Amino acid sequence: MKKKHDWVFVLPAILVVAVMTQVPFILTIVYSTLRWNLARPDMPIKFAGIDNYLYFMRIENWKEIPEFYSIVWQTVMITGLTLAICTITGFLMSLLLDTTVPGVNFARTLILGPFFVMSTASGVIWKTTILNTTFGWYGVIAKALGFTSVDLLSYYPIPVIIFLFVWQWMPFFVLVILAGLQGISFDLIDSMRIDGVNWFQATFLIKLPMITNHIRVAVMLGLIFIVKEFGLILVTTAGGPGTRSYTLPYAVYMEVFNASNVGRASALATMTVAMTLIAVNMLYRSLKKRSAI
Amino acid sequence: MKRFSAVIVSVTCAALFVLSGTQAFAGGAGEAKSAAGAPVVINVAFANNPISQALEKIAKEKYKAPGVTVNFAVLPENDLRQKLTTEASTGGTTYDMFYFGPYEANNWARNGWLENLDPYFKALPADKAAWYDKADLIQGMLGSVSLNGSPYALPFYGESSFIMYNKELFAAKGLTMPDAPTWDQIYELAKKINDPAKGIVGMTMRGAPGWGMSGAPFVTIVNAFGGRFYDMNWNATVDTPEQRGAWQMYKKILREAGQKDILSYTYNECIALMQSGNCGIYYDATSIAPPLESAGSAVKGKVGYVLPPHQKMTTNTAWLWNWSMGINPKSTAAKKQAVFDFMLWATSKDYVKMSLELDPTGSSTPPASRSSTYKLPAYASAPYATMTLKTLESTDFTKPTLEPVPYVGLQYIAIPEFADAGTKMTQYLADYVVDKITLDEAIKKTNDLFNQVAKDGGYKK
Amino acid sequence: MNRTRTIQEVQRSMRLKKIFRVSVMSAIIYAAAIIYFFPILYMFLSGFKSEFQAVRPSFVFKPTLETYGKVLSDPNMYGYLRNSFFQVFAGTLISLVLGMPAAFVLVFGKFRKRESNEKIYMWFITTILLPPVAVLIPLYTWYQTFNLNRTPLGLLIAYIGFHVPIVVWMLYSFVSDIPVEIMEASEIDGCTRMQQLLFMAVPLARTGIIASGLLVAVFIWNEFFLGFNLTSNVTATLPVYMARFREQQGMFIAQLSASSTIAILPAVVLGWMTQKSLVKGLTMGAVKG
Repeated sequence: MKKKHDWVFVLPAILVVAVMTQVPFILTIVYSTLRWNLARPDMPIKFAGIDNYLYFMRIENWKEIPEFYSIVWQTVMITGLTLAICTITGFLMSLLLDTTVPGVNFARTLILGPFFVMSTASGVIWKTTILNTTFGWYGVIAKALGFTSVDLLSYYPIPVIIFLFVWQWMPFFVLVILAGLQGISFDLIDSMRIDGVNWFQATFLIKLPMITNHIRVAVMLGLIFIVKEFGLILVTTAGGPGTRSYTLPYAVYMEVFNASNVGRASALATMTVAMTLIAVNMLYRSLKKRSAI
Repeated sequence: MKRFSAVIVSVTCAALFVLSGTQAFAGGAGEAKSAAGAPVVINVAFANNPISQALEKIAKEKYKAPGVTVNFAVLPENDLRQKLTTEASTGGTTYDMFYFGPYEANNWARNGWLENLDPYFKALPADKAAWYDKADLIQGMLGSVSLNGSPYALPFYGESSFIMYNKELFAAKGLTMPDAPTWDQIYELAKKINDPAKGIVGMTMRGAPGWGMSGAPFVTIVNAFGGRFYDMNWNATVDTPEQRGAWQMYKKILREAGQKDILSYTYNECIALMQSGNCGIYYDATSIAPPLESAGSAVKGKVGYVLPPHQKMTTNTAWLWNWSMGINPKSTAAKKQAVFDFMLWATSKDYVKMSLELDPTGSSTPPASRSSTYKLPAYASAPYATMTLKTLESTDFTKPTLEPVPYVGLQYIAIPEFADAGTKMTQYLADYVVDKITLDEAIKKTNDLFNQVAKDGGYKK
Repeated sequence: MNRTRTIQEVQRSMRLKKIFRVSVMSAIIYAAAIIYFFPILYMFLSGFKSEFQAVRPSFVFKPTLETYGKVLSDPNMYGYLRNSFFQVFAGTLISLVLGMPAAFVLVFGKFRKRESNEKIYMWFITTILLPPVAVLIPLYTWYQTFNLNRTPLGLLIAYIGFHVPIVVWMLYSFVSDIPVEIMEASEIDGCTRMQQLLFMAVPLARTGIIASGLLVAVFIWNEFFLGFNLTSNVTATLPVYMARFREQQGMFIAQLSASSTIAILPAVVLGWMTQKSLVKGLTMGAVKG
């Protein structure tokens, strides 16, 4: 009897989520087929099929690839490199912290801090107090060491953004991986020592495969949130110079609020979601294959 | 013990929640119920330029209207534009007063996104109308935000552009600034003043992308070089020697004699640099001069002002802009009236007096809005006043370029798509300035973009 | 001729070596931690400088409370704090209230089709992927129609919609840990689903609930995109306020630092206090896969 009412428990959640995420997304897909420019009410909204998609994707001659592909590539690069660097440095840092040295908890707490700092605050702090070539630590240290400080945000926007993303997300990776490392039973560690396994083999050939699940969780969560990230880019490089540090979400934002072109923005948003879904799927499968279990 | 602390924590949380919840609702929803007699709350937003920030300061202290609460927001200029444009075009009611310039005024008035102010003026009692003295407003400014003779906004302050230079630095190097310099001359002077070893920048200009940011000085350079964006048939004319000259000049100056963090400089950063006395030349709006002559400025009294540089085109190479206030037509009637009253106060002679009381050097006084401002003794003696008037008189925004064009606007093109296209152009410009792309690539991209815009926008038949 | 070492000497040298190793490790770990944390540390310190002191980077200064005074006497600041607190409390609470029953029923419930549990769960997971930018325009226009566009309620509903899936995802693995036999036994004893949920699942999964609640709280506190686009000055949250500092350079570093410290403090402190629960919550999911 009671089983028939199970769906009541999950219905409110499904409703709220569907109304807030799925239904608007379907509308976005619909809008992507329209020619709709908010700033030109004299041009009526008209069905335009896949015109908006073609605007981004059509390659007229192979010498000039449309900007869309650069933006996709930038998004992939920023996300991929961030995840890779986070994994490597997170793993190394976890190794460092996987000891019983007194006060290691305090150190771990400090390292964890940046993960909880809101991205706009950290972006503004880095930009103003550190990366600034006159008033920031970077500028001051560069001058003291005798080399000219370069405006990193303008000349190397993507490396700076990757660096800031890593700074924010590595603690998360450390948190998860460290838990994995500390979950490895003492018996195993002891037996490794007795068997005379050297540190290198112990770490990379035995411990690492055991924590792939943890790494996978960290990477998946990281992927989902880093792709969406908007605030950090807005406050540091504003996508610049040019469109050099645009990511897909940032491009959609500019298309809506700067160009007022709802149709094109919706097409871009739909493509972003589609690509993210594909990427997550691929990642999930490839990581699943490599897990030790 | 653990239980106790858990109880304390949950009680605190509950209390904080209830407190924040009721207040948050009161704050947010309170505006929805403004019955007659209940206080009217209006939301106004300004850009973060110095004179607008002064308005926020004075208004917070001195603006008292019975039954009306005014919420001020000062936003970065790019943000403000984007938010207000989206708001206006989707009929939103987040802000009751819009803050914009002639570029937006033109489009918005035509699309019905601004309230026509004629009825409000007609409803003014005679004594208030006399106090306000609408005829005193500089007609060119008022005209730029009117449609078919009816005002849709009130100009708060206006500006053109000119060259400001540090007389001390010039004297130290034995240089003189010509009265009507060309861009070539400016470039040479900037290079001579530029002295990185001593931390002296030769010339600063806005570098941050945005059609209203770096776009403003840049487009006037294009005009000065005799370039234009479209010919009379709406074909894009970016790939011309004149335009190329302008692109190269802009880059030359900034790379060889300009500020280090080129692309993060909005006018706020440029002003700070000039004020510190470490910069030789500054090309920007006339409304930026007052902060240079204010009490906190290291260059007070040491700045010279000359006409904006020309090149191939010999006059009308400045820009014309004003920041005006308009009413959101979608607000309630009570709010609209409250906004109108506020607008009248902010653009009145009383306000001008208050701003001079706040800062007798005139750095908080809205320039180029009223003719009477220039007759005030305190203001007329300001070092930049004559040049400001002279520049304003030389502008004609209906004929921006050497050769005829199908558009109007001096530092912008008065089509709605320019917000996007102009911003993209300044992004390509930024790319080119920091050597990420070559001049040919930047020009080609811009040219293609403008052609696309002409086609998509139905301009090109 | 080398004499062989006594046991004590060997032990002593081993101890010394150990102390040496431990000290070196500690030094490296602390150095790494402090360098990593440096920007936040510097920001915290700079809040206690006057604007003049804050312009040049330095560690030596005479601390003053004048900047905090300025920041805290700005009535707007309280508005932002209040808005952020409201969103976090209400958002977290309601997300948990909606998400826990859903997770519970997805693990133990019986629907008409066998595979429904898995399917609905996967559906929740995929909505986590959705970038808010993809739904902004329809949401914006709806809110206009229903007059929600600058209200805390509007933002709250959006936050709930976007964070319930995270709660469901995390709680699913915690609830899966509850042995099926317990649930079955209680059914035989005549428990209703609601009773099972409230008196068995919630207490048994409480570490998970706490961990999810904390994670969602931190996410909502730090959320920027929806806050940026769905609020006005009156209803803005702290991340939106912080973004306004991006175009003011050189002159207001002390104020920026003080405001920043206030803005990030609750989330960082909360995160620190609850790192252990967070780890448990996240890694439970790891082990399950």
